[in-house]
Amino acid sequence: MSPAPPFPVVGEAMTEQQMERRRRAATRHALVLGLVAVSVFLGFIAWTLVHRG
Amino acid sequence: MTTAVAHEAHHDGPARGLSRWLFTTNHKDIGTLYLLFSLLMFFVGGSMAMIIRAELFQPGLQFVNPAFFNQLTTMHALVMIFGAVMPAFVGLANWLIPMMIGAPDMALPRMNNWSFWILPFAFALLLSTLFMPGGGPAGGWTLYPPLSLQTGAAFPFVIFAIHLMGISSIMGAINVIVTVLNMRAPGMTLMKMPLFVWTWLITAYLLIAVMPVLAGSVTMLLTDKFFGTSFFNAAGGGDPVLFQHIFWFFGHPEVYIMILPAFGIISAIIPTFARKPLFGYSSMVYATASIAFLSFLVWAHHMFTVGIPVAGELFFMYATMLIAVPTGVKVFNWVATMWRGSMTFETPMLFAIAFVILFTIGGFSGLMLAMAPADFQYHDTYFVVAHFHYVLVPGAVFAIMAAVYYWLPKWTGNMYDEKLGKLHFWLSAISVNVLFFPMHFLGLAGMPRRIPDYSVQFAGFNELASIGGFAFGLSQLIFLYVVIKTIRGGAKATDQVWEGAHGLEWTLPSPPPYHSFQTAPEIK
Repeated sequence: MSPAPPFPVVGEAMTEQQMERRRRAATRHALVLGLVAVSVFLGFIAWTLVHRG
Repeated sequence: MTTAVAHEAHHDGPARGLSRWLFTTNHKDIGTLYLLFSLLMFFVGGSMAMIIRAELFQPGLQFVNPAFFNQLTTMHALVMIFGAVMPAFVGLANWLIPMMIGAPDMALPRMNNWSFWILPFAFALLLSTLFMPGGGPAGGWTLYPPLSLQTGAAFPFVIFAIHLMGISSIMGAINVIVTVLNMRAPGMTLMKMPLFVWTWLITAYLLIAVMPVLAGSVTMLLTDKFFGTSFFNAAGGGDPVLFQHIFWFFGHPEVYIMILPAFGIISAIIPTFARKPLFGYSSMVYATASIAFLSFLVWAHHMFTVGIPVAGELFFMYATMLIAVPTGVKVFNWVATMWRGSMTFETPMLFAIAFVILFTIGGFSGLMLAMAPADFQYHDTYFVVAHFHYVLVPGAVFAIMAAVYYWLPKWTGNMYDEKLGKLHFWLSAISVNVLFFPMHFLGLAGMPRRIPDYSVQFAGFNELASIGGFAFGLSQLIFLYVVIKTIRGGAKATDQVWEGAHGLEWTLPSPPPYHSFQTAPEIK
């Protein structure tokens, strides 16, 4: 077995534009996931309110 | 080409003193904070376990009164689940995910800082309830009403503490998902990601799906107690069993939240020390996803004895048994990876092998509990205590310890003391079985959970379990010593550390630079 790591580190640095695009995508994903969490929280309380009897 | 690297070069390094830790947005610093916090909580929760085992050493009341005993069992569970196991996995995720996918840091570093710093406040609040009038919560970590509503002044503080823990977990999970989906190096496709990253990605989705459910259920408890609602109050038209349904809809996926990252750790360690690639990588990914999916369909197996319809019991019984299939695939793949490998048995590997064997024992007792008719005998007995401690201690906790031994040389740049590591392993592996195995027999003989005193017929096995407990507790001091010793110095670790280690994190120096990959590596 070769002791060498399987992934050579040979990549290029990102441009400002690429970084900005990635930043926007990350923010968008985080907002959607946060919204999902809040919806589940409120949804379960609403569901329980309807089904408690 | 203008690069972001050159732009940010002027502030590349940690701040000095306390502000480094308070205001850090660095994934390694935050990972370290999580791991240290988890270690502290492990000893706090462990001290509670020591008092519990001392009280149960022999029949009769020895050290604590029954009310305080109940507070201890409740608090031990809350501290160990939300304070020790979950933050340890988040700490590992922080340290490892950016390094494993070729990213410089987590995607949302400021939120990462908040995720951590909420936790010490949450646990200070939770632990402070022990000193409040009426004491801390004593109705068990499941907080079933109407019992939990009898908690004294502590009640709103406990609920607020749980809300804070939930917010921290959700923010941590969002960060993991966003990082994995946006920050992978070129060429690092999803199916090239290390298993630890995969298991954490799936765990993060589980967290976002179920932590709000816990938050919702405890919010309803709060409004039932203080705002006159009757969600779970039968006198007002509510239903206490509904709380159990909602709680376990959170609670069962929570069990997998505490074990899936452990599967990822074991899937990294076994190939390294067997010097073979992981057997069945893609089946491991699909098995993890299947376990996560099925975890939403089995919640009522915790409630067989409350009186749900037989059709419901059958559904939940078979759905629960179905989880054994993807779990069996995982165990098979780990064994197949070791098969005819050039195995060596350094401390991480020892913990990993013990994990495979002892977690499987916990899995088998889980299958026994999944059988609805049999569960009528086992329910609320020490058999259940034995089962979940087998999956959580030699399961989750051993995996965390394996991970610490495996990656500590990478984190610190120093090798740990192998002799002490092995001593810690053997003492832990023997004592954990002396501690938890007799609990199966106690449960089968009918000893109930959460009692400070018991009939004399249970004395022998309880004595044995307590001796095992004290030995296990003391053994963890060796772990503490080894970790401190390694942080302070030791033989220098190479970059690859382990001969058979593969993955991006091993291409970085030991210890790695403050920002892992400022230039994204390209994965062929």
